[in-house]
Amino acid sequence: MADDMEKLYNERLKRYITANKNEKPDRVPIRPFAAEFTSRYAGFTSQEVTHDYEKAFEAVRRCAKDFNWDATVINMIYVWSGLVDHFGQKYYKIPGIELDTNVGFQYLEPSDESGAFMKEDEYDELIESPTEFLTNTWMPRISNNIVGVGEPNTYRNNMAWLKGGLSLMAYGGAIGVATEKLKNECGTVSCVSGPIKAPFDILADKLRGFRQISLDVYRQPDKVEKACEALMPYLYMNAKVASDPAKQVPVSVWLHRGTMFSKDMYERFFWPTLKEIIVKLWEKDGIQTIWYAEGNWDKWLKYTAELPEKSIIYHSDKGDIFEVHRQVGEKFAISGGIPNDLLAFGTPEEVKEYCRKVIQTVGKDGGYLMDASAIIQSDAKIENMKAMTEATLEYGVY
Amino acid sequence: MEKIKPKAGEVIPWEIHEKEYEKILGDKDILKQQWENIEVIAFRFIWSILTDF
Repeated sequence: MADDMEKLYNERLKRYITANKNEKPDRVPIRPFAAEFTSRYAGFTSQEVTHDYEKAFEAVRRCAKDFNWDATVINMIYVWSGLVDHFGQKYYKIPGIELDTNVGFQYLEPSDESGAFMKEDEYDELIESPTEFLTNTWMPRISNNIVGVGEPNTYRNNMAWLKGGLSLMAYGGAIGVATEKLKNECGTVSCVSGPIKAPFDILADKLRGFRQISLDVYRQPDKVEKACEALMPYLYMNAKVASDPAKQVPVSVWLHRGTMFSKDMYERFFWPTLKEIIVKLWEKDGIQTIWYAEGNWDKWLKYTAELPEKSIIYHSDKGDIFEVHRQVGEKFAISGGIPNDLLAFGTPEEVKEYCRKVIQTVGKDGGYLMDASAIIQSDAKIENMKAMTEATLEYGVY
Repeated sequence: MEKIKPKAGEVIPWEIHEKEYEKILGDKDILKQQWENIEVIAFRFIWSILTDF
């Protein structure tokens, strides 16, 4: 790495770490979570970046260089459809296959009990041995190729396991190389490591589906609660083993269904086990979590405030970022809050003014990271993304 | 079907696999370490399909 690039990288890493700890860096870091925007900017189709991860990495590098990003996600188009193809998952629609080449991939959630990947009477099996349940029962249902225990084995089953594992290893190795390239060629920090999902979200998203879990919380609440408790140590370990060994880069939790249920249900099903994962990662392992609050999580701010100081970076999406700052800004760094519709339909002047307001309010004492509210898709205007950077460089210097 | 009930971070625990050797003449820890190194990768494969893909 050239000396000047190494210097730039080290400055950005320090800026990123300092802001994440809710302290005051030399200026507000620019840390976008950008998905299909990167492919449009780099001249690739969605199909190309979803199916060819080297193109996705290249698109991110082009943006990181041209927009002066301090830190970013190495590939925010997180579902590499090559692995999906080899393993045979049924629950995605992929650009260039079932979807237009310029549409982002889509998740197909089971809409009724017959399509649910975990049946209503299988909670005990999941609770007894989560990894075995996933392997023996869930995977045969989500894959076109995997056969269940007791069914006749097939060549396609054997190859799906082999190619699925090899695909993940190939992708993981490529991410390592791409992280180094992002550092060496752009001086940009890869900003996130392992994934967390709330145990309740795992039930609601991938195991039961939203309609089915909505019935389960009334019909068999004890089992839902026990399932969340059973999943918790596995989801903690899954995040921990994929986290940054240097503990500089946080893991992230993608929050989904917690706002769609009542306070009592949030308190019983969603919050306790998610809280335990985040607290354990912080207090036992020294790992921070990006609390990626998809949607509006303002009504649950008092619960989030229970987390230890500096344990999370609160990412504000549809919530009121100024209210988030008032309620939890003393304890946690905050990121995001620049509306995606403004980036898509506003003018550069409007974007710049909004960024100024957020920087000078939420970021006035440090602890703020510049980013859009939600993941940046192909609708964001290039001139507005430039305006976001310009505003940060102009107003974000301390 | 007998359940293995692997804990977080493992898929076939060393304690189960260890009993499958008739005898171990050499250093058991070498076997254990290498077994567990790949255990965690296999664990990550299963759970990353659930959480990432």
